[in-house]
Amino acid sequence: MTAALLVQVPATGFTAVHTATLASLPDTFRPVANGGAIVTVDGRSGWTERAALGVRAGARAVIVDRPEPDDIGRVVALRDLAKDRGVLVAVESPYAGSPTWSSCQSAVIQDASSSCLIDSVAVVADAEDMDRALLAQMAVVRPLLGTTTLRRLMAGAATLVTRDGDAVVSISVTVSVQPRLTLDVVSARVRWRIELPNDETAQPGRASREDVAGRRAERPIFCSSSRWQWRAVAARLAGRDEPVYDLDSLLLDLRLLSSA
Amino acid sequence: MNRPLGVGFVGAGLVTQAVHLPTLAVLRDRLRTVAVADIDEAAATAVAARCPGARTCTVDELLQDPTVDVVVVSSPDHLHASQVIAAIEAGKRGVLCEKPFATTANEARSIVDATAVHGVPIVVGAMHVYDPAWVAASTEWEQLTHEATLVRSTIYLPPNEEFTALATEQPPAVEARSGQPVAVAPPPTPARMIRMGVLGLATHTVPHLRRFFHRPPRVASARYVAPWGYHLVIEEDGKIGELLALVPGEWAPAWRFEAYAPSAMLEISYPPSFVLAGSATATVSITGGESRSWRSTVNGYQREWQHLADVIEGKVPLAHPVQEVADDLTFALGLADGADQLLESHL
Repeated sequence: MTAALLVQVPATGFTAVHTATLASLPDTFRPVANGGAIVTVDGRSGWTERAALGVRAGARAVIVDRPEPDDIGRVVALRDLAKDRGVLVAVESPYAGSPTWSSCQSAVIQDASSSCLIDSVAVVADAEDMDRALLAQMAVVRPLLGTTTLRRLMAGAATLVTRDGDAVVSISVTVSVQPRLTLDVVSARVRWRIELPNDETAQPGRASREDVAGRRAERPIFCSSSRWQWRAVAARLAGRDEPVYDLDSLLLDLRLLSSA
Repeated sequence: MNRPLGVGFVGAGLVTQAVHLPTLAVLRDRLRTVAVADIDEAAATAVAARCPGARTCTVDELLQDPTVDVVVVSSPDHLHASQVIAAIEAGKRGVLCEKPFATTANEARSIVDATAVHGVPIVVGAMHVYDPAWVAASTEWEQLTHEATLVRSTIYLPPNEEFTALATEQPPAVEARSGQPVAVAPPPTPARMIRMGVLGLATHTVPHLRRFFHRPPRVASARYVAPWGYHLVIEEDGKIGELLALVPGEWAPAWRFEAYAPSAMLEISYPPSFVLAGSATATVSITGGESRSWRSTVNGYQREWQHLADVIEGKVPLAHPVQEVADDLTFALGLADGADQLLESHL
């Protein structure tokens, strides 16, 4: 049996969902106060500096929890530093990390290429989380768009981003109850409806594809996106080729968002 | 017991056949079709034949018929205003006009003025505003209309024929049946298509929007969605409204209205028109995970007919006075005009 990976748990900022994640993977991870192989970093302001400290401290992996948009140059520097040191920097994303999204992403991307409407709404509980949610939303929507630029149409109590292209794109973030992300990808032939809950519990997302033959729903997976992503990090550290949302992907999203 | 109110139809087309006749059949104790007028005499005769005791006639004869208490204006849009006014001036007890009840603000004012003189109640066939689930949810959570920051209407519908075939036995359109070539009009511009959408599909949504947008809002973005649809963004004091529509599609219908406020969220899912599938399902969720839902076996069309009968019989006041309906139209025209300006500026 492989030894558990030691996870350095910070004194503050370690969320309930992370506690639940580690508790549900007791053979893979073990929390410690100092010197873990995995360092977790709160994604609020200054996260690139905190992550760089983790890289320099000799961690094998750094997990950044739901980062807010940061200066692209600082993120590039962090990515280069991590590559030099051979450290995996994984970005925990509440929506892109959803097992429901993982199960249907490739099919949605394929259908999106002929769609005429891409519509996504992220709901957050706290206005302070709107920027983080919009960045996390990009991780889901950006692969559907291909190379493009966006236009920030509105900002404030609700934020709306659109695209001036063939297909109508609407990406909005607002504050309300029941935090979640919804995504509709629509053409005259196919319509996807995806609902990804906020990453607080193992409540499954829902994804369904409708066409002339009827409706096909993805099987619900009762697993938080946190647990799903931490397992992927462990697999990568064990040498398996598991997809992880990393700084290269985050940079694509940051650049797209900064174009708006 | 009073005799049922006599109903006369001006227009015997699909909406009359697929929406109103089945609805009136359910409410036959209170409303009875007595006359049908249509420029297509065969259509009028066919519709009248389905309604025991009903006769076919001209519009003038229908307006003079004392057994006609309620006139249904279900003719082409450009005729609505003049026919509504004619019904009012003929002394009818009530009018139900299909959407839109006018095509210009001037027409709407003329109807308001005529109503002020004659006091005839008018109900417009924007059935969602009468939907019991919407009425219950919006009444209970009035404060949401002030606090909401994002309000959205999304309408994805399959071809109407899928539902009209389930509501009636209407054959295909005459042009399609005959095999003769149909005169081809110039293709409408994107602005024209959006105007048709706003005054057509979005008419159902406008009364909802006006609960959240108290002044004619600024149109911030207007996009035509191929093959037929629209994406409109409106804004008022930082509050965003989005209207999305795409028809027809090969998928199942999805007709939603959503409002997001920091303390509550409203989600409504409407069944398609034409079929008596009951009301929408409306759910209000509040902080803490609590939510409440409403649903009824009665849909908006049934409720608006019941309401008109109640108003005529003096049981209740008109829920949506004609000035409010005129304001709805002004709002919709403002959306269409705003979209026009944006699209023209991009030409």
